[in-house]
Amino acid sequence: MKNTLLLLLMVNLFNSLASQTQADFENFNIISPDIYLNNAPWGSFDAGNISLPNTYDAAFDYWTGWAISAATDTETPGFTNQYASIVGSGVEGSPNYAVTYASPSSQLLFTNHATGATGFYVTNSTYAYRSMLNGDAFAKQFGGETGDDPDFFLLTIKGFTDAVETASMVEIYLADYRFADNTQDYLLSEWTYVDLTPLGTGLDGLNFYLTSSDNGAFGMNTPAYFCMDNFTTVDLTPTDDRNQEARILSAYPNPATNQCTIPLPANALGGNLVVRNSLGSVVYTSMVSNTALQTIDVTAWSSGLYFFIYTLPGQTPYTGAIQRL
Amino acid sequence: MLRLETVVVIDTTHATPSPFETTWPLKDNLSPVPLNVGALLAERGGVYIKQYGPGTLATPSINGGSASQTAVLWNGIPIQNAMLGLTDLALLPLHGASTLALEQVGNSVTHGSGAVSGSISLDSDPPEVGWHTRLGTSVGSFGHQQQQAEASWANEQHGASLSMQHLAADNDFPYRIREDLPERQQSNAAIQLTSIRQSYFSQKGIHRLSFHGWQQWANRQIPPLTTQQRSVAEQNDKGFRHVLHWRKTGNKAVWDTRLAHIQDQIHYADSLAGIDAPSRFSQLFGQAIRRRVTSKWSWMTGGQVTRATAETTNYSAPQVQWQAGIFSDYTRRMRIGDMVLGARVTHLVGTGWIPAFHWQFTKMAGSWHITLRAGHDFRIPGLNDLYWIPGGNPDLRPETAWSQQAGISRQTAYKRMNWHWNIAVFNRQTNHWIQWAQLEGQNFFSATNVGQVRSRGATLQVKWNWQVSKAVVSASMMANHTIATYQQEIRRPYFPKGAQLLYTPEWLANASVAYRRKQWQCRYTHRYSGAVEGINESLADWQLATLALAWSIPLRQHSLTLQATADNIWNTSYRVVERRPMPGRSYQINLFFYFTQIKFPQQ
Repeated sequence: MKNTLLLLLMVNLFNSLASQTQADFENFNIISPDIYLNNAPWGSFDAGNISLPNTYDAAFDYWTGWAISAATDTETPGFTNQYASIVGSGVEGSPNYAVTYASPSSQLLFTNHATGATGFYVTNSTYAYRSMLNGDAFAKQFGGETGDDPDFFLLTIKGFTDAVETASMVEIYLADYRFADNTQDYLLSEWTYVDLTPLGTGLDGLNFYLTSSDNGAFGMNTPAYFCMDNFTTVDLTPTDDRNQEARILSAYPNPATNQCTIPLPANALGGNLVVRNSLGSVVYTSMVSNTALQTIDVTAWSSGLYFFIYTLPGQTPYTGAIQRL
Repeated sequence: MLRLETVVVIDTTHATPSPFETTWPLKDNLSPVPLNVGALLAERGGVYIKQYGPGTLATPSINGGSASQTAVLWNGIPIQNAMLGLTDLALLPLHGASTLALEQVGNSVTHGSGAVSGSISLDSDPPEVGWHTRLGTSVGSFGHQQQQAEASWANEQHGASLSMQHLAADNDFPYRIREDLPERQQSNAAIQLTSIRQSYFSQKGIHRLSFHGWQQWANRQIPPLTTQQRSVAEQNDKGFRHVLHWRKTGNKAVWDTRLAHIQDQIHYADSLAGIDAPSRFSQLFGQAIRRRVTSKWSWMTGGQVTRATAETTNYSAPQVQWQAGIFSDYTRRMRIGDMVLGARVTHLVGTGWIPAFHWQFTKMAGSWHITLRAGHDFRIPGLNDLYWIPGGNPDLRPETAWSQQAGISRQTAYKRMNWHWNIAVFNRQTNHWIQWAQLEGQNFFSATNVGQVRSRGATLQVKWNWQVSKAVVSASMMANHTIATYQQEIRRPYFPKGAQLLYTPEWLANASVAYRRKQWQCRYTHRYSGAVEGINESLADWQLATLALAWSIPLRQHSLTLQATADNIWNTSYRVVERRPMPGRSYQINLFFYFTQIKFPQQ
């Protein structure tokens, strides 16, 4: 009973968030690791339902804000390798991802019907990672001369509406050397999911701030870069108008341990069914063509809450949730 | 062959020198001479030398001025790199030069751009009559080795000299971050320096033509910071400097005409970071000066033209900078003292006219020497400040400074003792101070005229020597107090109003004691630098001591001189620049070996 109530609560919450759109930046279709986009023709790079502002000074060949990259170099330190992620690719090996130079901050704007975000993946740039790992001519090796300095590189994310930041924020340490036991010190070197649901919805965009323990008179010494991929927005679609009835599907059994069936509308075949875990990763996808009852094997899924969305061209998507015990 | 004993002559009748100037003779075979201008000034000059490590970049701060506010001259020619706006004093070896002079006062009227806080002059005198050769070699700690050869010949009419030096050092010294941490060893810090200087003089009656050439190649590895695991960066410097100087001594006036060509090539490379940054700067310089001296007045007038060109991958295109100036300096000897009025006006193409002027009053009364001076000096922005991408600002205005100085000195003799003391005070307000800063709404740092900086302070110098039988005991002491502060808040980089400039110690002092008897000399030097603020952290004050011994053995007309120097004898662990270790907790001993051969012409 308790689980059922929780499930209903989550389903309602999910329904209120409505649909999701993921920006994976593959629409820029960069296939060569030597190519990057640091000059957005219209002042921003748009993917999914987000817009990443970019400023470019042709006189100085200088950019700020965001760039789109397919760089794979995880070894070369320094400014000349500023577009590469330390993973060497996007999430799950995808070629394209976004890089920001947050000096002193960078901004993301929601577009279309997006009013919030469920989350995104983040990792260090090779430039920042190598700088923190080994030090360079300007920035210190994290841990300092003795290895004991409580250094950190922190990404703080805040939402804003009408240019006013909301109270809530999300923080993630891209590097954390504050542990008493130095063996626990770490630098983020994998794509890591950042849950943005605490920021809520009704937002116009997000501000990203980078702070570091390594500062001097000229400001932060640590290279102010991080990489982003698979940014998922929460979208208010036309069917989310409060006057319309929500389109919710109830899977069964729910909670499930082996199999779970989603009853799709019999008159709405030909759509795409996608199931994501709570971190936003796709765990199941299917093009539905012949049967309304979609039975999914959930045995391999880890325990937790999963959300599904069934989209049809030109129609409001159907949503729902599955709890895997 | 008659062997004469060494006689020490102390000049007590010579006019007391200016309280703002110090000159060091470099041809004393007995005293160990530091490796370069930076090392000499750091040890004896009362000038703060910001040195990144042994043999690496060394820049001066005179009386709270920046490195680029110091004019550096070689045989009368300004040799500052117009791209950087400064000179690396570690790349100015002292071999082949006769004197090094330090002027701790602004003098743009005479020296032009950059002589705001002071000037450093390295000069070569005509060789002495006869054949002179000098061979030297030295070895020392941390792979230090040096070979030096000098030869000169001159008769009454002509003369030529050639001086070559090769210097190499591994600089792989050990250091500790903290007592309880394991010892580290400096790496990637080796240096190689080869320098050749030649001079030719031709004197025929009232004319003297001289030529000075200086070729130099330096390769220096850039060592890692203490907060950096590894560095493979290195910098290659090539310098080619040539000066043609014609002097005509007439019945009423002396004409000096100089033509010079200076070329600097700097190639910075870091294969680890994929950086390959060559740059090239060359300068053509022409100057004509007329001096006329009478018993009541002296008058100097002159003109100067400079064309500087520079290219680097960080400029959008090669840049050319033209400047031309005329200047005049008039001294009137009056009963109450000497009055000096000087003025210069410089036209910088693209910027306009830049004035400079000074007034000086000097009163000599017995052993007293009083000098009052006020002036207005300037510095033209470096080409990197103007054109570097990103951040270069073509709209930068020249730095200008109003300064006032006063000095009093006295030289006295009592029996076999001589005293000389000197007090100088200064006040300087620099306008349009150039600083790389991030402006509101700007995402990168750019060269900016951030406002005013005020420097004020005082310098005390005391010298004493005492002749005891055949020995001379001498001692000297210098203390400098400098307050150099921003007169307004700067946002980024953040400096509150009234903050002391970075790398500008409030206190600087040195003292030395020397004993010289016949062919022996022993000298102990102790110096102190007050704490400074760095970009990221504060640096504690430090003290260093140097002990030098010298022994000269006469061999007929030749001589053999052995010198031994021990630096940092108290094993001080110190840093001049943050995150840059200096040789500490380790002894550094240098041995210098010289051989001198002198041949007199047949009578």
